[in-house]
Amino acid sequence: MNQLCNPWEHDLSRRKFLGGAASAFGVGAFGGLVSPSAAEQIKRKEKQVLFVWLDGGISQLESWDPKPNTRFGGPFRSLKTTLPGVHVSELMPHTAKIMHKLCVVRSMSTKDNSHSAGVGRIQRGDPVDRGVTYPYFGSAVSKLMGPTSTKLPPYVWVKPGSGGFKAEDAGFLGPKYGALAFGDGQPPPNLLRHEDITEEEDAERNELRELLNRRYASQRRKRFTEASSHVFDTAHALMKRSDIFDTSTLSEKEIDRYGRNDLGHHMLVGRRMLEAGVRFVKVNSYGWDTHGDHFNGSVSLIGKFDRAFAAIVNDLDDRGMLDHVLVIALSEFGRTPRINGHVGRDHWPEAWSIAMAGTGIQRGTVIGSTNSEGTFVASKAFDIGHMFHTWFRALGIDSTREEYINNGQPLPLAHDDMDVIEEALA
Amino acid sequence: MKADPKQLFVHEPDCQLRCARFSLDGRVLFAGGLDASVRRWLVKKDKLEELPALKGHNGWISRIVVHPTHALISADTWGQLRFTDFEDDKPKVLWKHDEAHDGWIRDVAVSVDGKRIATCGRDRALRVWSREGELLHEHNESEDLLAVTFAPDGHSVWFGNEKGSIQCLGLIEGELVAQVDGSAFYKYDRIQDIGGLQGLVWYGESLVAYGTKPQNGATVRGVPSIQLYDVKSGEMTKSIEVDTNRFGFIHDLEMHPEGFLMGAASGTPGSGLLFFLRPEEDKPFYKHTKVSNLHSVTMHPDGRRLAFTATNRRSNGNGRRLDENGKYPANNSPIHVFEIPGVPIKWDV
Repeated sequence: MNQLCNPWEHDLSRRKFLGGAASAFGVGAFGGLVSPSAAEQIKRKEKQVLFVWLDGGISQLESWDPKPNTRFGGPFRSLKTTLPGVHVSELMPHTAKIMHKLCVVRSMSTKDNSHSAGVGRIQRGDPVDRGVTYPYFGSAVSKLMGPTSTKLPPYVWVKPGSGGFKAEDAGFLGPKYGALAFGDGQPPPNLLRHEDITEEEDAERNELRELLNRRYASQRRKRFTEASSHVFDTAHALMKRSDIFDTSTLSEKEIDRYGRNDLGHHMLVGRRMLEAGVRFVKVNSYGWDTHGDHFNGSVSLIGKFDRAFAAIVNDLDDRGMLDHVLVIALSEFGRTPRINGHVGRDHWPEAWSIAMAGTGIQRGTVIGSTNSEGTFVASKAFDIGHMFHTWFRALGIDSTREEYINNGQPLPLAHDDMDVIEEALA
Repeated sequence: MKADPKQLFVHEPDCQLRCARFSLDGRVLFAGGLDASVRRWLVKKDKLEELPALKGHNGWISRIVVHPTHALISADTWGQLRFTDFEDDKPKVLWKHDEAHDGWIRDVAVSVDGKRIATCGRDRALRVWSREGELLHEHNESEDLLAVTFAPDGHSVWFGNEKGSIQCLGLIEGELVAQVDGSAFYKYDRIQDIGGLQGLVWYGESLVAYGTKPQNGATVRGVPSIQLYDVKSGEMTKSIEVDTNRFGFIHDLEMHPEGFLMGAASGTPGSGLLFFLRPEEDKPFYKHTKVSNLHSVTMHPDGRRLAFTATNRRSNGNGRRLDENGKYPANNSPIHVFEIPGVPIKWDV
């Protein structure tokens, strides 16, 4: 795919143009940034992100924005939460107890009602189309903030199924900023040095590998060889932290608290990765596209999310980590108010919810509202671009000033016409 | 009997319905709505004439059962159980429990003599009540309980849970006395527990479990199925897949006075199935698939007429779709009234 665009596709403000021009002089042509001030760098140095992705679309009506006893409200009751006057679905009893730690935006209104386009649009922040493929939020953070001082991989993805290096997340940033995926929450095979190989032998092997790499790289484009080398280096850093995956040290009580299922297990691995110092951890759950038997499905799915999500937010809080970890839970859209003949709900980007917590985020806040039947947003609507600006700000990145430089082309970090949601920020 | 039911008429209510039952005298059709009301209609030759709905429930009406005294038992998804008398067509609530269960009451059954009522729910509790509403027995399980029925002799209650375990609580013994295997009605997919069991009925001395054999989670697909059990031996004696996974769940199953089972099934939006089945045979002897997404079927006491609730066409769709008035549309459940000409009338109403 050609990641370049044409000059006439640009639509930058003068301020942004000047900022971009300045950066072009300040850094190398490929993949550079406007340099943030030293103070900003220090401030955001060890900030981290937990990004919980519920693939397929969690229903806002059975979670963050219940409308009990209304036409489309479904069968469930709502629960009082620790936030006075705020209710969540009865399927989230654990989350109801931590609402004072969360910020929920109930007035999300986005553009895409298909999975194929929606997943990418949401995770890339749906910026103005300039003919380039924007990075997923994890890749963006990886680029803008790099690894933490631990040098562990900056962007890891704990997911069901297969693992590996997912370069496609990085878009125009280049494959180096892709996600290192841990399939089924497990470490890459052969992560540890084989016991028959001594440390000295291993060092010699690495020396040879680096020599061959340099020879290989000299004949190829830098961005691809750089990515290969990057994957090896990050895997090497992980070799020293194989304890992250060792579940034998976890107590039965701790495992129960997160839930004995994939999502619970992956959230626990995610917590350990954050504790170890990974910059951005995405925890993924599949199977949320409940077009049929939705309400029974919600009992099972949301019940498991509720337990694991509340557990990790509480654990991060107990460890003082919410001061520097940004927590986000979302899907590509919500689900229709209308209940179809298969007792399901379909895709609904018109009015849905996102939950957040942690660094830079206002605690105990609900922003925006939907109408009495939950069909449409009744207050100011927010798109995913607003969220990207807000998340960048929460991480200490001024998305209205800093820009990507893609082959000399300045590109805004998030949608030009949108800005932060001030009420969401601490 | 050669079944060849003919449609008499269709009634279009303004809401979605979950369950429907005729009154014992056949004069009234009751239906439980997704709008927390119990709808009522006088049954006329060529139409349904609406009577005032019963209000006071919450969430969805999950089950309605006609009691031998002509009263109606209704249950909802917020846990309310209600016993309403209809003398002179004027509803009079004889008793109700707002919190008969903590949340969704999944199923309700009445003993043959009408003296006892059994309920089970998402709170994993099985409860047996007297006709007057007094709690007589309570049994707690570790899983969501989906279905319940009294044994024909009234001395025990059979109930099934989400995992497909179907057990028998002896009311004299006060303990579990038997169990059969309904695990085919359960599947764990990704992180989703899919409980396919929808109900339990009797076919002679055989216990019949019905629902779907789930194949996958999220947009659940499954094969509409029934399983028959010899409760004395605990053995499954027959398993019948009524159709393909196009028709998903058997949501309702009733015995026709002629001695066969009538079922209502629903799969992906647009797919609905009414079927008649003699369990001695391997497949239904009648199928009707021209209606969308059936959720309930009920036999009129004349043995000739039946009514089933379906779903309007084009009930699904992603994203913003507004009606001609620019409003967000809701779905509804057309009530189809059919007649089975070949069936001898058991009694005229």
